[in-house]
Amino acid sequence: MDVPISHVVGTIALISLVVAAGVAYSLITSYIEVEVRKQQLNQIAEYVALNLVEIVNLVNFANFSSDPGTMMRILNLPSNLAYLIMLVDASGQGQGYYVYTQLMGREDVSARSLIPLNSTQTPVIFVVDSKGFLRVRGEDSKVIQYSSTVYGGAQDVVVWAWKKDDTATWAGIGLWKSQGG
Amino acid sequence: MHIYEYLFTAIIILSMLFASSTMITTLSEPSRNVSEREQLKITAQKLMAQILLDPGDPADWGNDLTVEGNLKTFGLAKHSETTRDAYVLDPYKVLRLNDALLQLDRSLYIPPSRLRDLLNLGNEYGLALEFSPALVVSIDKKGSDRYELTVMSEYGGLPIVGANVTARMYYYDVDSNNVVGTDLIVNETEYRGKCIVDFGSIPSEMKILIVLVEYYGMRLVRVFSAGSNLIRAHLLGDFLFVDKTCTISRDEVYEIIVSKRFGGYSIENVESSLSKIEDGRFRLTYVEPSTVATLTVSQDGGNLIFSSLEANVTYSMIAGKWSFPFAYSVERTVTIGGSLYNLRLYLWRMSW
Repeated sequence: MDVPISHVVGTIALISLVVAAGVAYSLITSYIEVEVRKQQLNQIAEYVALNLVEIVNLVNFANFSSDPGTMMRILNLPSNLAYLIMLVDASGQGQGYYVYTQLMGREDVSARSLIPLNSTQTPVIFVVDSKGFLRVRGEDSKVIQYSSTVYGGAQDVVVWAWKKDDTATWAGIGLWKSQGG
Repeated sequence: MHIYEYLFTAIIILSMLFASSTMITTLSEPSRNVSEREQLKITAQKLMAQILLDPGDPADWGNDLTVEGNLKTFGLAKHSETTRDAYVLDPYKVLRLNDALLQLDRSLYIPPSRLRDLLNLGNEYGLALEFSPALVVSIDKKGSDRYELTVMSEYGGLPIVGANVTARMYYYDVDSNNVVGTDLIVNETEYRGKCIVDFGSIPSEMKILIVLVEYYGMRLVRVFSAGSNLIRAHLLGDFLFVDKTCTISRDEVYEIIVSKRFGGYSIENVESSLSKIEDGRFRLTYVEPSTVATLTVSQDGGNLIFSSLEANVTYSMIAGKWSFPFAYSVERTVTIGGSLYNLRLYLWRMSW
């Protein structure tokens, strides 16, 4: 059976067009998905920054003369997304501190939220380069594992603050977890 | 198939792609807008928490006149070594945001660009703060020194019925060469939110009216000009700022204080002294913590110089801009100098 060459060309062109349309469609939808994810990450970063500001003010507001211990707040974050939360000090670049969120394995899908304290000279010191454990008064079974980067998955992410004295308040993010767990 | 049929099929496929892409973008747009508004809301709340609960660094920056370059953290909360109340703001810190200070001394004013740096906003966000009294109090002259006072709610302008009004007029008495106060007048607003305060007839144009309105715990102090020979000054901590062309020769200053007493309030005055630092700048020996206004007389004896701690301040990163169509606003009720104010914070994105 003879098939005219024009039919072959037309069929191939149509198939190519269908494939190209499919690719274009998936590109558009993935772009929109990335935008939505960025919005989600932005909201998470804003929420963490808000809680960080509030806990710092709460600790400073107490005006205690003696050590009041560490205060913390467990954050209610989405668990159906794999992402990182970081506390970044960019005061060297004149950008102050900010909370940075990033989708796991996707550096291009990220967001950040400023912390309205633009100086390392302030009495508030954010822990951005060390790890450790903090005890909370009245709780023996759990500790705060603080770090500048936490995984925002299913675990209890917390913001914490500790007023060392009148000249220094330490604050940061971490995980609320069982001792040794 | 003819060539036209291929073309027709291709057009249909492209149309489907275009239609579905447009539909997806259009459908996701509203939720994206909601999400962006939500982010603005959280950022606004974060800034509000910082501004209202942090006293700033240095903590007494409101009356530290050298602070402009040394201000490290911005916050308007009132600082105290012992106890602190939430949402109680330092009147001097609020007054440092008043652009009227620019006419006296530029270094007293905290410019919006400085605030942007201190709050780490960069060029991403714009911000405006609006302080307005929780009750709208206005006066209408009905006789020589007879005034009709109207108290309305800030929302909707509804009349406030049964508000307790305490008023006293202060004026310069030429005979005694002193600032004197009239008797205290106490009244209550009727169903239209109005009441009369009558001081008879005071033969002076150097007089001001101090009004205190109290309504179920909401308190507001207002200072009204009642004469024509008045000059407004600005009190910041221990310092009194006045136009450089105006001089004060007498070294006494009258501090008007408001205190609670059994069954109501009292408006009293205490005498203090001041000394000249330079032209337009005077230092008071002592300022009573509950001072709501100060009075003193100009060198020629022809003007009453008054200052008040009323915080009717609007502060915006966009000069003269009064409408913020894309802004998100957060509102809190705060206490400034014993009076209740509503503080609105408007936040908008400079770029999307």
